[in-house]
Amino acid sequence: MTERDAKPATIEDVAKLAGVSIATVSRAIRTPEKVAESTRKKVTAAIARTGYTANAMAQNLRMRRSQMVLVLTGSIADANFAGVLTGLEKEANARGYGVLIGNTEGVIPIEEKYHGFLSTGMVDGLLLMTGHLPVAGWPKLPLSSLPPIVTAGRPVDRTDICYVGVDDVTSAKVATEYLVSLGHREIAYVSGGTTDILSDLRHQGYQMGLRESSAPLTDWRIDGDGTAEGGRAAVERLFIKDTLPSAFVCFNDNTAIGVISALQLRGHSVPNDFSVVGFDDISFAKNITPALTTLRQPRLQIGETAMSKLLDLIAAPNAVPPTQLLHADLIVRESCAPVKKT
Amino acid sequence: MREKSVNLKALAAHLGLTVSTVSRALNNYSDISPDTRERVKQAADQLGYRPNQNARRLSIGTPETVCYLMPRQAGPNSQPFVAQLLAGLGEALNKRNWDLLVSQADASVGDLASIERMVRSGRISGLVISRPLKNDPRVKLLQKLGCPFVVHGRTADHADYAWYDVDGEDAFVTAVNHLVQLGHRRIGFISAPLQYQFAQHRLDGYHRGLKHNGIAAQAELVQIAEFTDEGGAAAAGLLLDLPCPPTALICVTDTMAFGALEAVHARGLQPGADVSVIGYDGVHFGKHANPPLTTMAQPQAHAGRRLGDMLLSIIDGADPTKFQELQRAHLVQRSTDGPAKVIASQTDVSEREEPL
Repeated sequence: MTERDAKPATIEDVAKLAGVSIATVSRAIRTPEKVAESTRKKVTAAIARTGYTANAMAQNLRMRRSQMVLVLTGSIADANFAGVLTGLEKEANARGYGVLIGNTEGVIPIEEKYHGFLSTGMVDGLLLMTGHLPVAGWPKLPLSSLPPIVTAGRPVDRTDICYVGVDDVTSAKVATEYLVSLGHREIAYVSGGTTDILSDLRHQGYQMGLRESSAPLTDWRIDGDGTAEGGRAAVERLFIKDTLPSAFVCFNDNTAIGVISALQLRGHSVPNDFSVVGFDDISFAKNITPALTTLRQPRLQIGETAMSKLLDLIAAPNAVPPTQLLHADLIVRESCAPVKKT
Repeated sequence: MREKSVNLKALAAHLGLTVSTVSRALNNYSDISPDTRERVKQAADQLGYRPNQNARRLSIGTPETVCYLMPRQAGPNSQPFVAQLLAGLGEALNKRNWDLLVSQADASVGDLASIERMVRSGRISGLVISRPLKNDPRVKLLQKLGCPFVVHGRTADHADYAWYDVDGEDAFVTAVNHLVQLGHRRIGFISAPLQYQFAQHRLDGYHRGLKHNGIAAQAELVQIAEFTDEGGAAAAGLLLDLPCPPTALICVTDTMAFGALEAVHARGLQPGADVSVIGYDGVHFGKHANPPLTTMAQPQAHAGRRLGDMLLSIIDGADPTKFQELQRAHLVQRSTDGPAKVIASQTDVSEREEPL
């Protein structure tokens, strides 16, 4: 590792090697048609020899563009985040943008830091996955000072911001209808907590699914917290009350895994005694026993679509792209069966 | 539409001060009176002035940004791994207000070119590479470019750069010893492709463990497959269908072990009782496997944070070779390891395949 290798070539190096002025090198790069063919060739050869690339930061500063977007998430550890990120990065990279990651973990001072960051021209756009606009810090800037925003995976309650995510309502409705079609009449929804917007949307879809049934079915919501432990605890509380549904629509796969393990620990069989549907299709869903029937989040597609819309918005800031809800496939495995005849 | 935030010049004009006075006031220079400093800051708050971070970083000569190269072949199975590393890295960088950039790049020619472009663009101060190959051209490239970097894992020759790894060789010696203590002599090994250095280390450990226990290695007991659950199931199937099948299987990742469990079940056998299965990684879901998976757990949450701290130190000028950390994995015993079932290993296969 020599000092010479470590230092990237500058425009001065190119000019010196080509025997021309810095202005000529710059012209040969930006407006080659205005430079004599022989000069252009000399400059091109010099660029090749020095390995010169324009300093992107300096260039971006001149152009008032950073060619960067910030992806702000409340939880990197979320089961869907890495998959969505892969799609986001793929699309950004294809269009010449870099992706910065901000992880707030719901901590206010960290949000404030990113809020400040957004108003400093560091990024051209914000891909928001936290479910709320960044909390205002110092100084109290109007929302209009934020860069173009697209939300993904978790909507914010605003009609003027584009959202890309899975169609939570329809997907949960499909899961519920599937259980109804298997003859289940007592179906519980295991929520992801009382304040989670995604859980509320899926609960709505579940209620719609119940209404599609010919027989009147009761809305039976029990609360988990989005974790396997939460799902297990929710089922344990049912056993204490000694009233059990024959099927469970779960907020997510983690919850479903907890529900299944609680039922199995009590000596029951899934799917012979109880049917369980998850949501997400995490990689482990097919490895549990029984393999989990679930809705597959189109993670890659959410990432690609959201980034594509954000970059469009950056290019044309007045045309807010329409919100897009993506379809989730019902992946039928082994955790559901026709209701047991009693 | 959104408002343009005021720049330094507009702020100075508003206050009737020179640009340099305003700049010095905002940066707390002591040659500006406290009253003026306070007045300037209040006006900056009011008008929503923010220094352009890019301009500041350009003037101090460092992008204050670190790039993580996500494995390109990151199927859904790698996602928890990527997420955990990102969280740790972000934590380390946050302490100094540095930024984390992500990019997908493996060791292909096209990706090498884009890594080189990124380094030369002056956008980043350093890089984190994960899942290196035995001879990884990314390492050579970054050394040539003189760009600070750290590797999560090691290449075959890892003397002259910074890395953080878990001792996979040692872990597999431990796993073999554990199985031998349970009476197993015929132990199958399920591996990822050996171009990945982590797979080679774990295979070396398997061989060392066998040798240590006076057991001759047999080529037919080693199966290599893609490191997915499907790969694990296929490899386990081949081993279990041998005329004289192994009584235990050790797998280079938990995901492969989940596949192996499926293959064991598919043959009407009970993991732990009929065939022992041990994984490696200690992923959270292992305890929900059927039955819960015995594994060699690595201290995963720690890795991202350590890699971030190491990289920052190297960017600050520390010698990269001072940062070579080898952690140890430990055995987490759940339900898939048990005493060797002598009968299972010595009975004719046809006998086991009778319908149950």
